[in-house]
Amino acid sequence: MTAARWIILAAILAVGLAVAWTARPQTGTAAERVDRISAELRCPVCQGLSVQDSPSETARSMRALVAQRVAEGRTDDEIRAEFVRSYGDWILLSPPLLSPSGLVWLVPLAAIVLGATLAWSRARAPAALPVVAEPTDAELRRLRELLASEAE
Amino acid sequence: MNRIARYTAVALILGLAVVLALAFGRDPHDIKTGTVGKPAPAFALPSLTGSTTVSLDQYMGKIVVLNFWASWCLPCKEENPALTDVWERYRGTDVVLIGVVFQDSADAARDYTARLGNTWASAIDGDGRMALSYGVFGPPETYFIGADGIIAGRHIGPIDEQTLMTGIETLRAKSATR
Amino acid sequence: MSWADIGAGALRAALALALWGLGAAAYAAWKRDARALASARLVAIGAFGLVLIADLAMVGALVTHDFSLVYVAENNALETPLFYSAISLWAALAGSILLWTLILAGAVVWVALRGTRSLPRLATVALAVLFAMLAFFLMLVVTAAADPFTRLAADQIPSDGNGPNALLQNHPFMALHPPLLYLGYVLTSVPFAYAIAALILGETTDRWLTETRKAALASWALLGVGIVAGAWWSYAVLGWGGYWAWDPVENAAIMPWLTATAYLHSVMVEEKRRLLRTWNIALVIATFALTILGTFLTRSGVVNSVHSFTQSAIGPLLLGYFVAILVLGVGLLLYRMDDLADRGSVGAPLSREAIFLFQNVLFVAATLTVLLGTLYPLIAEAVSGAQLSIGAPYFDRVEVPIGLALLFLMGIGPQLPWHGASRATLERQFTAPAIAAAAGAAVAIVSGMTGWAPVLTYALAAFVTATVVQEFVRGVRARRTLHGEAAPSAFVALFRRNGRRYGGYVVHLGIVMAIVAIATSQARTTELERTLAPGDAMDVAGYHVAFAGLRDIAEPQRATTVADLVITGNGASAQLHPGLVQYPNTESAIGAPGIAAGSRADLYTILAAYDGTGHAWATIRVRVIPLVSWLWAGGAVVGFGALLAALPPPKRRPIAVPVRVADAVGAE
Repeated sequence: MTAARWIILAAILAVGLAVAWTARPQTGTAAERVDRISAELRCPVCQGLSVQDSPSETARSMRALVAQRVAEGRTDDEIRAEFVRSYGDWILLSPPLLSPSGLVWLVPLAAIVLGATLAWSRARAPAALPVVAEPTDAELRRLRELLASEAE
Repeated sequence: MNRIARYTAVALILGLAVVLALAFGRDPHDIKTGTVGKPAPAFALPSLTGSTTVSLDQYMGKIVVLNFWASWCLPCKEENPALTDVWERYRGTDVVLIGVVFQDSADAARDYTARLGNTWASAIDGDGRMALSYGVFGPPETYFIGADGIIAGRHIGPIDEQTLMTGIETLRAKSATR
Repeated sequence: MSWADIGAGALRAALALALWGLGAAAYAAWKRDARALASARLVAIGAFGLVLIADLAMVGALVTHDFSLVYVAENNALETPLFYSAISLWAALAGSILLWTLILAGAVVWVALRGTRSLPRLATVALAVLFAMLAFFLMLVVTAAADPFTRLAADQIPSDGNGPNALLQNHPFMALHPPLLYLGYVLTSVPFAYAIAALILGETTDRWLTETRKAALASWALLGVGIVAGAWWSYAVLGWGGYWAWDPVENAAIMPWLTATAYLHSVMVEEKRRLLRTWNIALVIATFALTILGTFLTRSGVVNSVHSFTQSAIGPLLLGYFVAILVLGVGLLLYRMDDLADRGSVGAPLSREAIFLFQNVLFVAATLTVLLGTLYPLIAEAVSGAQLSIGAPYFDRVEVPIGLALLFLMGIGPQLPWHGASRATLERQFTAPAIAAAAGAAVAIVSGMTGWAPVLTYALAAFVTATVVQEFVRGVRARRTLHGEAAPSAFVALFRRNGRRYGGYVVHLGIVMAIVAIATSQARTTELERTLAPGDAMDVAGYHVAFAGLRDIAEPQRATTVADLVITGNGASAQLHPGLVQYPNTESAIGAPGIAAGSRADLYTILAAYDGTGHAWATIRVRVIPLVSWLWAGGAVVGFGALLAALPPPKRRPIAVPVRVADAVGAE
């Protein structure tokens, strides 16, 4: 192994560790939970904004209700369910994976997997085939003359 | 491969066109609420006029028309004559009209009822919780609650007398046959 | 003669000319008739002139408040300032279509005069296609669908108009964002028209690609800059402190930009390796079709959005146009597919072309996600009647990983040679960038970033930046050894000699800036809301915000209440005046945030509520949004890089030294 390879591997490892460290499961403070839940609720009086982002009065009372429910010790699912009871599934900005609408999660994934497989299979095709010989300089010059004359 | 590509392309284009064409019949502002057909959430709120409490329990067995309004809401003023007419017509029967003040100060709301001469009871939903439990989007919004305590229907936007009467009479007929 | 007479007359004449041009260009292509082509050229200029007259007539009607026109009565008022009157040309549906038509007529002129000289036959067919599009849009504006010159009956003419939509007259950015987007949208029709022409003629060379390279680049850059300008507009106007909400209309703008980005990269594979021809044409068709879909979504009112206008007859027509384009484009492509089959193969997975391929897969998947997320509520309601929402949490969850993967490939791709890379090359290219990536992750952790996505973003941003810096350093060094130039002139020479490559790197740096800005502002915004009495103050993230009091400002067209805030701390010293603005034509007041922009963070203040009777209190919401101004700067850098990439290559001297031959044909 060359020194360069060691350096590259060590750097990849360092980035991986940093990402893993920040991705570790954390319980989060109550305020973070309120933010997270409010970001998934749609503000009823806005145009597609979340309760978290909207400055409206309605969003304010919804945030307050979420904060109270968090303080009461309800789970995220229970709090979401309470809003779904009043407003229907419409209130959730992100459809659950395990629902008929879970399709919206699967399609992008399927597109990437399928596309990457296709691209990979093409990229693995023998690359060394001398399919079309690269034109020589003389040929290229002739070609350019032809092109130039046609353009006139 | 080619044939598959052809069929897929045709199917996708057709599908997209059909979905978009169907979307024309749709009003993006017509949003169904989750509470219609379910038991009306209970509430007990201070009344606008004084120290009494307005609660759903006290109207058990009656048909309740719940109207969310605010003094700053222009369409509310627009629908007020219809509400007044209906209130006068059913006064003292098994039908009650209750106003709920939505995101408004008590002073402004009292001023509004005094100016328009509204005599039915209104409750103040100070923190907006009650409106949230009913699934209110914004005033004016009107809910019809049957004698059985189930929300039978909801109307978004200014309501007219015809719609109010239809909503009430349907519920009356239903409780009569029971 | 009234403005309406001039405008309506000009549009009708322009429609006649467009139809004539369509016939003349088609005939010229079929019979190779020079006289028909000459007449098509003249007609193109004439049509452009007439549409320009119509646009100017509309501007004239707006600035002179001619309320006999429905459009003016609905979108203008006596008190509307001159500037906003003039730009109300694109404040609503009919006027926007008028502007769109003008840009399209400009594109027709460009192809008629320039295009038909370099590639006569192909461009003539493309010209016919463009004339057909122009005729379609002119048909929209001369029929009831979107006639901007519809008149009111004499007894219905109001003494004052309704005024423009409050949100559209509250910030000067309204002058910039829509025209930029429309330019971007419309210019995609040039590559599309050429692609259709190439398919119709069974053209097997790539000449149409080189011919439309600049149009594709320009439309991509204008769309991108227009999207950033729109984000800035919504940041400065909508008053929630954000700049992107995955609103259906924002989605409509980002979709063609995504496919256009894919195209700009994969087209290089076709130029260098003569591969992916079917794919590139498909991307051109998709990009153009998505611009029409975007217009349809914006203008027909089928989706609920800040931008959607009321339902109008234009919806079915645009839908028909969209379907016609897809049927024509996809049909021709399938018909010619066998002729366009690749006669070579992509290199190893670690070759530049393979990375472009993977990049394309990700861009298309990103586009598909946006399309599906935008349309899914419509699909679900059509199929099952269920009402549901798809918003920011969904798009963030899918698009952020895709975006990070793309950022990674952005660092890898340009560093790899065509065909394949040896281990030695990999080591040579990636040692320094890998160290930079580790440093970037360290910076993120030290500065207190939480969440894996921002940390990975910082690492990858540092990685890409290092690859770009490495490229510039190597390029300058090579020129210094070969030509003995000084470092600064060698740096400039890089752009002059190979603007496309080095301009591309500048674009990449702009994208990195924008992505870092997005990641940081999303992850580290602090917010505080307090109700204050005059004289009170609040402290947010090191800033001291003192509330001096409320002030009412009366202007002819609006009434504003502002809170006077004095900001100190963090080296800042500013006075901000967030307000609530009441326009007579709008029910509720709209917010006008007070923003102190900085290179490290923006202080964003909102007047959320106030005591209307005694001015005794105000509720102030303060957001400290770090690095958000880097997003606008990044957008500008992207635009500048695109400009560099469009620089014409220097004229070569006819006597070439042998070593330059390979250079002269574009090999690296």
